[in-house]
Amino acid sequence: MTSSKVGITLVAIAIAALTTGGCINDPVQDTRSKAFGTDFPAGVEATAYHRPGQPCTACHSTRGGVSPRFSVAGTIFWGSCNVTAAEYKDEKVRAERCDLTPVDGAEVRIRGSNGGEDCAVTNCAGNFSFDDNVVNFPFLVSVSKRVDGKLIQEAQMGGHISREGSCAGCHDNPRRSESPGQVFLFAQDDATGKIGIPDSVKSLIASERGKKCPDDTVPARRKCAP
Amino acid sequence: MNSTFKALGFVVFALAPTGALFAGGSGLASMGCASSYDPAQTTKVLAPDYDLYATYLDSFVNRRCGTLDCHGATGRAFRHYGNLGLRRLEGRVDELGSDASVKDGGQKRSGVGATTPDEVRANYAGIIALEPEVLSRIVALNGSGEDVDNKVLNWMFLRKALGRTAGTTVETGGERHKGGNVLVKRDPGYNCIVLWLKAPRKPASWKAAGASAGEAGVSAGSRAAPATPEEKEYADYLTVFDRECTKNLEGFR
Repeated sequence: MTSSKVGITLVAIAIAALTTGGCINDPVQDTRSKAFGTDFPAGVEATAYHRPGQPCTACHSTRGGVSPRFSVAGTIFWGSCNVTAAEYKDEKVRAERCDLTPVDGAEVRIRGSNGGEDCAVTNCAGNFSFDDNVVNFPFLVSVSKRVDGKLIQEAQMGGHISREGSCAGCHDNPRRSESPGQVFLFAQDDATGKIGIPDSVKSLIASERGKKCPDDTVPARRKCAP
Repeated sequence: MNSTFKALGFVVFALAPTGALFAGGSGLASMGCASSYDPAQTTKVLAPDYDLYATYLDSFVNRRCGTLDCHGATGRAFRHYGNLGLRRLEGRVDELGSDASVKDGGQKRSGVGATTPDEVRANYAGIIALEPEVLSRIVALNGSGEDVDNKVLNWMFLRKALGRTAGTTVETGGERHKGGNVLVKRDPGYNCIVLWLKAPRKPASWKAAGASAGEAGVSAGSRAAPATPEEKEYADYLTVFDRECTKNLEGFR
């Protein structure tokens, strides 16, 4: 084969590789993305409401190659999930002791080491995202929820975030030695296993449980209260 | 070897075979023979005080370095444990992470309970195992009259903490660090770590007198009048250390 034919062959291979359906030629990344499965929750397409509780920036990042790309993103839930690994496998225990209801309209505030601040509001699936780099790592984060303008709960993360853009990069269930569990507004009592949600809020959560999110693919970003 | 040295000493077994390998290689080349490997040989390393670390510094280091997305991750060679990050599992290494090791719920969970003494001890062991030979030389300077401030940046722990992110041009005084610079010089935490490294040797009589900082969360104030010049020096040091580190790091405990 002449050198010109070798060159043409290599170019053809390169073009084929670049145009093959979203593959970014990173076996580690591909394996990680595939591990999340398809279509979660079932029937929810790839919109801003999909994959609550999964690490958003695993795909929605420069490395993940999926648009839009987020600097920070995650999901907020009402209560925590403080069960053992074995208990977590039991669907009944999970339903009783883990509150997997997402918080719609929670405000997520971040404050970076460069002094920058930003705020995002969660959508129907509890998902939020920051798509620019206003705030530098490391940063502090707090979550709050208002009902009819009245603050009902505010929670601040104990430490700071050093470099992980996805909440679920560290916060996944069940709570164990290497994860504090999902991001929640109301903590669970370690002794009783009960989640300390006030009765006045429980009816609100009940009304949101199982709620179907709208069909809009790109929901308008809501602004945080000043 | 005096008791202070014993108290501060840290044994690094890994250095012995490495040194033997190099020595053996050169020996074989020059003379055709070498002393045999001695598995009992150890290298003693001077390390800064554990009690001071446990009482004043562990929470601070845990907050700055031990987040779950940095040195609080299981994959890190230099790991840091704490109640806000990674918890240290108990049990056999080959069982850790399996369902069997967590089925009773007895293992510590991130965010639940306080940092335990075994976690603090493991953190301390991890820190002083970073370039132990360099750390040893720094600690050995104490009392020699030499300026320790000029030597502390020889130690990787501080060089990395002051470090910079790849691609940036900001001069921080440290070396490249994936996590960027988590400390700056003159930062209260930085000052406290340097002060920790500058501790005079703890008098042999000190612990026996029940005045060990850390055991009661206090320092010089709890001790009766120091009896010797060494005790006086150490008491004065603890007074300064307690003032500087308590005041400046109280938000981290």
